[in-house]
Amino acid sequence: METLSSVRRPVRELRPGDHAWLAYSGEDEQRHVVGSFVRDGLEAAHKIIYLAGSDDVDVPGMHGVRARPGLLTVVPLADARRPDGGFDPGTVLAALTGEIAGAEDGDYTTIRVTADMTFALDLPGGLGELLRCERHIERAVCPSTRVTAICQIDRRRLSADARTALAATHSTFVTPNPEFADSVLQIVRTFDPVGLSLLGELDASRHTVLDEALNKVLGASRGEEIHLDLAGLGFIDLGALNMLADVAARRSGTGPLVLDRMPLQLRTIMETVGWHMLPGLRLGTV
Amino acid sequence: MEGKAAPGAFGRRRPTLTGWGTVSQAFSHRVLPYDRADDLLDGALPFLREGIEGGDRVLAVTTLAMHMLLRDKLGADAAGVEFFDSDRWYAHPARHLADTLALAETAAWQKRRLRVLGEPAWARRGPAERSEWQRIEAITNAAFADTGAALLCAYSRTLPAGVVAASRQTHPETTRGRATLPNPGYQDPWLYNARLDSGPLPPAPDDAFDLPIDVPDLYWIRVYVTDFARRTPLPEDDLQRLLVAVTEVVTNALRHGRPPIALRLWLEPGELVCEVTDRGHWTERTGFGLIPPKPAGGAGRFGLWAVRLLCSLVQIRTGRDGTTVRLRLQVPGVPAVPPINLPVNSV
Repeated sequence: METLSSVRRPVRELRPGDHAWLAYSGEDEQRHVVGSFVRDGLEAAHKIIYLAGSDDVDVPGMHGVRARPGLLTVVPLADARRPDGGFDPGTVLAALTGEIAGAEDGDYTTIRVTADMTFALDLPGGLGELLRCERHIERAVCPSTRVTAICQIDRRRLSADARTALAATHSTFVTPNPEFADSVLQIVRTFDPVGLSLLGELDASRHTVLDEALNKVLGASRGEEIHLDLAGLGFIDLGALNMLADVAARRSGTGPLVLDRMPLQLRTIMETVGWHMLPGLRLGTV
Repeated sequence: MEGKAAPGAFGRRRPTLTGWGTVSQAFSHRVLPYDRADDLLDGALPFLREGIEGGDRVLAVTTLAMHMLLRDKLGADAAGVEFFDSDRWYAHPARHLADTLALAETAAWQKRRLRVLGEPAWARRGPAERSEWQRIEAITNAAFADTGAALLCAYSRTLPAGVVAASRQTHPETTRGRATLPNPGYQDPWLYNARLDSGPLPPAPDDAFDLPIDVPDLYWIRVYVTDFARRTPLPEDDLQRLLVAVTEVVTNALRHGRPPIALRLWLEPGELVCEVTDRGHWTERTGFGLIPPKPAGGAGRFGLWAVRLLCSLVQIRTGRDGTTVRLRLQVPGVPAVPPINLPVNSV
């Protein structure tokens, strides 16, 4: 998914020159990340160019946003085919270059481009042409002082090799905006598995934000297991543990609350206090 | 800190979650003072045999030498007894109470009775630790009351002065051979507990590191405690336990206490001490996190109970002048010279 040379960046921190990629695990993750990208752009009066497989796309991030007319342009890529049915990156690049040039003539400080390229994988020779196309986009976007781009692709459709090859054509790996972030704690939604990733330290100074983030995930879940990735969590207080236990108890009957990658120092606390015996809470991957 | 418990907290919750089994026998907690091994056997063997015959879960927690004597006398019946070593069984007061209570409740749930012959390890304990174990003996009467457990505690008369005498205040009855006699000096567990805490704690040393807690981002309190503890031989695991315990106690003080709140840290021989003081007064005398919370939850100081599990010893004094919670953690080989001075900042 990532290469050593790629930078991870929350979507709100993308800047001009970033050619980011989003290998989404499903529609929830795609809409969450792309929705933030589109919504933030509309609110800041940036130009949005949305390249889609067809023109009847339901663009994420539009709900409840009153955008200035003309800010969003949807470019259907249904025609980006060679006569033999194969994927034609030339058409994509021409459409993109044309839109960017048009936007640059406008008074937009930033042009946000995003494309779901998954459709290209279905076409004959699609992956090879897609890689070629990505290299062109990389060369076009990286030096730009105005263009920010996110290439979306459905991760489930990619082989490991294809994923590595595609990752290598992007300088940045885009992640969801944190649900909460300050100098002590960061909470980020995860989608595969569904849950939250917690980084930093968690105590009563930040119980409220944990509660809010948990409720959001629970509200969006469909009864599946909820996973908390604790690999980056250096401290958790008894109150937060109690909150997790309460959530687990409320969910009894549906999927359990799974605690993944719990650091050793937290495990020491759990074992001393004995909370691992609570039903509904489960230790997941180490 | 009166009123509602901090949402923080809970203890070793027990595996059974709804309702309790009932056992026909009533809870018993007896002391068996002995001079010679034969006295101990005279009281212990009928106690153990009664349990084996009655289908109880029977435990014998004593010294290795006594295990051998008991096995010898019980013969084939010894197969019905689980043997444990006192030093390990009686390693930590609160954890001991939690684990034994869990065994008793699990047995009760299975319609069985937990029956323990125990010989608490009193040797090598200092006065503070000794009184903490005496507190556990007293609280046992309240904590186990509904479990139907049968607990027989053997006390050698060679123990330090006062230990056997105190045992008659913390056990309702004495076993002598097959006979059971009430202890006239037996005290209500909560009164006994309050009496243990009636005297003031020795004052914190003048050179203790002092941290007034003005701006309550708890993160900075942990930074400070970590800076101090890292200059001592406190093991990393115990530092993590201390950080959770301190965070809980300061959280409680911020929520329920009254300012000014202060944190002090110092070293004593073999111990790191961390004290949190505030001007509030806990009105409710019972509890103090001494009994593991019921799994069903409800009001109670769950946090304080967990804090007792996390530290070697927790001392609490509360009154009109304010409240002091002192957390003690054993430190291997504390140097004679305390760590170099840290800048004292207010956070």
